[in-house]
Amino acid sequence: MKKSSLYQKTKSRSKQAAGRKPVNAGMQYWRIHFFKYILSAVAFGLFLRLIHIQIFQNEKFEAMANEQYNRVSAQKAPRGIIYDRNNVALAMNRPHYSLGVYKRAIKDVRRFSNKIANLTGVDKYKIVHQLNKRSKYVQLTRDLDEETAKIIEALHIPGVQVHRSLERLYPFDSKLSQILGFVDVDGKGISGLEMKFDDQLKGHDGWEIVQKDARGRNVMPVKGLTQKSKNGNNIVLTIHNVYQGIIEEELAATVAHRNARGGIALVTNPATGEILSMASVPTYNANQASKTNPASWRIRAITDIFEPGSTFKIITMMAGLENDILPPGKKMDCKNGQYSFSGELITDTAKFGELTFTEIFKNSSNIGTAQLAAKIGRRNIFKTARSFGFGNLTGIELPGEVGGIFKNPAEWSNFTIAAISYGYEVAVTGIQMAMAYGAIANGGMLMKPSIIKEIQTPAGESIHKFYPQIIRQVMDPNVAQKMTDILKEVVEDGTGTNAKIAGLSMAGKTGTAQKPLEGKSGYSKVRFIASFAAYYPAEQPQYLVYVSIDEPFPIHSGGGVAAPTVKRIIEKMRNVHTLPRQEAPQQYTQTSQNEMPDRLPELSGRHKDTAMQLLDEHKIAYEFQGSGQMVLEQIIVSGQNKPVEKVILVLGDFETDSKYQEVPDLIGLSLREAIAKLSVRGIQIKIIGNGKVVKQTPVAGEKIKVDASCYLECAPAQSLVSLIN
Amino acid sequence: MLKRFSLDNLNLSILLTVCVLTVCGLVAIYSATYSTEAVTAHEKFSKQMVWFAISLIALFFVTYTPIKIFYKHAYTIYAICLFLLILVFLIGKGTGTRRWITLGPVWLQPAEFAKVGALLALAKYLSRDTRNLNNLKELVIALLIILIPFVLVMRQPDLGSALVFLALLLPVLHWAGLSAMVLFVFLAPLISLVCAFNYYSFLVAMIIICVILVFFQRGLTFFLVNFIINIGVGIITPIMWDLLKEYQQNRILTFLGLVQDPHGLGYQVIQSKVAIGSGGFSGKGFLEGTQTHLRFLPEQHTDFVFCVIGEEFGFIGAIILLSLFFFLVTKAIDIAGSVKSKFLSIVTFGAAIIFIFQIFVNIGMTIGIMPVTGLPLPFLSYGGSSLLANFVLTGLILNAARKRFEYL
Repeated sequence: MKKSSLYQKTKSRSKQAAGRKPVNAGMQYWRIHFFKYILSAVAFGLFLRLIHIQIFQNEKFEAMANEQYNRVSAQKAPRGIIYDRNNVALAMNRPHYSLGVYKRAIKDVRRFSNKIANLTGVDKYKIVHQLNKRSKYVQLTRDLDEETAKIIEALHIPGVQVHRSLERLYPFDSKLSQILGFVDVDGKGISGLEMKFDDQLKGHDGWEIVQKDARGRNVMPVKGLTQKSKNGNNIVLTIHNVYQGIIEEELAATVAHRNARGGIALVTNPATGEILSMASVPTYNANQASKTNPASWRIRAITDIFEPGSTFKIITMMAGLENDILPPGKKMDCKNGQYSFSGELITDTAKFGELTFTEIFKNSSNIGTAQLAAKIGRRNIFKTARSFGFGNLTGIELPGEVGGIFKNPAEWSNFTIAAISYGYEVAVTGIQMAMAYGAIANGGMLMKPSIIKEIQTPAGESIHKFYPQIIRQVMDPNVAQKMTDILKEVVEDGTGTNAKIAGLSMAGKTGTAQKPLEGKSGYSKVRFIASFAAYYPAEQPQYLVYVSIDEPFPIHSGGGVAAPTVKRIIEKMRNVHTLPRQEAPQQYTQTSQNEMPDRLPELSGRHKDTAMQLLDEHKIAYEFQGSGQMVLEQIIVSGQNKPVEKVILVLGDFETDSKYQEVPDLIGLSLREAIAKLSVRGIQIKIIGNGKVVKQTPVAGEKIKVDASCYLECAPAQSLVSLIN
Repeated sequence: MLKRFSLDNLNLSILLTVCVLTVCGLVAIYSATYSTEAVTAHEKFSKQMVWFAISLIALFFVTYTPIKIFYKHAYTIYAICLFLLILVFLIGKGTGTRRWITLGPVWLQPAEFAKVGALLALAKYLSRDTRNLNNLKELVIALLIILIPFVLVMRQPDLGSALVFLALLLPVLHWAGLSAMVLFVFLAPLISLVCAFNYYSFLVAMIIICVILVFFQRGLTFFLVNFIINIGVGIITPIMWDLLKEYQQNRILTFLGLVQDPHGLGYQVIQSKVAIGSGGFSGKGFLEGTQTHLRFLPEQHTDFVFCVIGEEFGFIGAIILLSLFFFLVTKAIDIAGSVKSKFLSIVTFGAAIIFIFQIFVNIGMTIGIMPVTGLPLPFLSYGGSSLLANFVLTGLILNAARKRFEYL
């Protein structure tokens, strides 16, 4: 309306104004409209384009923007420290600095590389070489000491970034290295305790979503989207660092001196089952694990099985004593060193005539032992060996344990009973042998070996504490006492005299086992395993030492190779006075064997009713703590005259809604949205990559325990380059 | 005298529009410089405030100055502008370019004022009654009035500002009476040049050109000469193109926006598109624009100021801004169409063209439909000279609106 009136006015006025000059008379309406149409078209074009990029492509550009400035900044949780029983750190963390640069910030490559070379000592040409790489950000060096790192940070060189991380450090290099294990470059435990207890040690990595500016600098964390890192738990081992040093030194010396292939040594507290030290040769430096031979990573005392030879005679000894096969005073004919049993020839190292029960073991007569075993019978021998735990895992908290080979009597040949009686046709691990001797030392009570003394939170709160765990009463304490007496004789004037230490009452047994031939039946005449097990003081044993040497040459007997090693170890251990003495071993009064349960069943995680049923079957008293349908934890209470008086079952419910949450569908959401959805439900988040969620574990709809983690794999929505092309 | 300053015949809607636009600019500049170091944080904002005040005074001065004075001194103003442009070569400042003349703390950009000067001179030359633009000699003089400042600005170098002079030329000549035919004769070779890279497009272009040439009915000679010129352009262009070295070709393609390199100009375009695109419908909110505040976008308070609006105020903000511009320039074209004085009409129309060109190229550049040339967005971009020049142009429009019914 306004416009038309405007033109009308113009027209009416133009009549009055006719004749004047200069006149804007040539103005044509169509020109006005022509330009207005063009103008409208142009404006419409801009309008469409804005709709296109702000409405239709909004998501894409928002994702690109998020990708540009939102970075997940991970904060690695410091890994838990592993201590020995006296709080000496065996595995720890040390700060590690690396240096990188955003290439865009470098103006003069030569000057820059000179400067960095001068500061860090890294070769100048190496730096130039790194800078020639086709990436926005290049790493200049991975190893930077703390001082240099601080200097470089203070210099604020444009584009240069000092990255601090924690590196795992094993201060004693190869000491206990197989048991400690090691971590990979990402700090994940891949061997030994580092692997087995990775969940405890690793803690929770923290993260925050930070906005970065165009220069890649952190600007600010996004509110609410952070999770603090939580340090890993510390582990205190039962290991005695000093003893560990002693046995490693002695073991290595023996292996070297006796031209052996390898060996194991361990020291335990027989009363509790604690492992005080445990060594394997060959060994490796845990700080450079990746450069070493994987064969040296094995904890041989639990992973390597062998036919034990005479040390296994304790089975026959115990069964013989329990059944009173050869009462004191009576003697057995040992056939002058040659005896044919079921068509196979058994030999002794010396020609023995008539021997008493004690003398058979003192002199380690195979013929005598085989005859005893034959009298005892298959079933008893089998039962006895089983009760010691042979053929089963001991349950030590180390990865890779094997149970050995112990055949069922049904599979035995006629000769097997003789072979088993002196330690063949059976394969055992070092830890099994040590625990079996420990049972004798401990009044017949077989203990579960343990290497973990305590697990502590970073604040020092105890999460898990070691307590002696009885597996079962293997023999009557009187029998154990008799066995100890015989084993004392072995050291006193039998095969184990090389271990004798003046003024120390020691019980022990030698073992010299031929190794089986490779690829065919029969046994080698030159390859032996020499072993010796001993505990002292014999009256109230505090320490058990077990040494086994693989293929010593030319001297190959247990008494000649392993016994002297044990002696030196004990001598050195007795010289360690500076450290606090061991607490007195706990005493358990004897109970009759048939009252004892077999190994207590694992109840945690089972339904309350099942647990009750199982405990009833074992005639074990129990009481409940808490309420619920599931057993969360079992606590064994030892009583006055019973190792297991009752069991406390801690109850709870796994399946209540508060503890479990359904995982929502997160695929296609931005990281920010996904985090928001999960945080509301109390689910932890692990993020891999940047951008939008492309994969989630567990999948949508699945239930997940609160505090458990949901893994989100993300990928950039669209890269800048792909947009250009 | 007092009556002449009354607000009765002042076009308030235009005045209000430019003021609102300038305030939008101030808001965007405030946001764009907000997160930088505290010392310079508000320096640019307050500087622009001062320039806003100065520009407003200048606007009223121009609005109420009798138009005769401008007509009389048009050539003088033009000469002063040329002088300043030459002076820039001698004492000019700038990084890599010579664009500014410093007067103490004040940095002036003569190219901005030269737009006004050239427009006034061209308008005066074209508004002569006896002027016949279809006469070649007079046409050449009109061309020269524009080409001299164009070349001078181009040499600074300031491609964006220089193109404003060229953009002014054809529409204003047409407005002033240059026949559609002559306009076409100028434009046809350009079309041929662009279409020459593809056989089919070239064929189509040639057919259309022939049809239009026939339509003019100017005889065989006219037809043949034009036809041959266009064919020639079409043949020579690909040959010339092949003679260029690859980097030269790339430079031209990049300039035309046909190729974008992600680190140079292409980087800016992507970042600006990301900023505007991520703004969405309603924007991220004032001071909440991440791309703006995290400095992914260079020159966000000058040439890329539209990104700040697009990111923080979204589609709504951008559309409001476009509407204000649209209102301003349509109003100016209306006034140009209705004003009695031919001089004032051309000036008003030229001012509108200067605005349109700058708005379109600048916004088009930020949303990726125009090549990146350093052009400020009128009224919004940071820069005193630009603001002042645009307010002077607005003053001339307001003057025309006020004196719509008066002959010179």
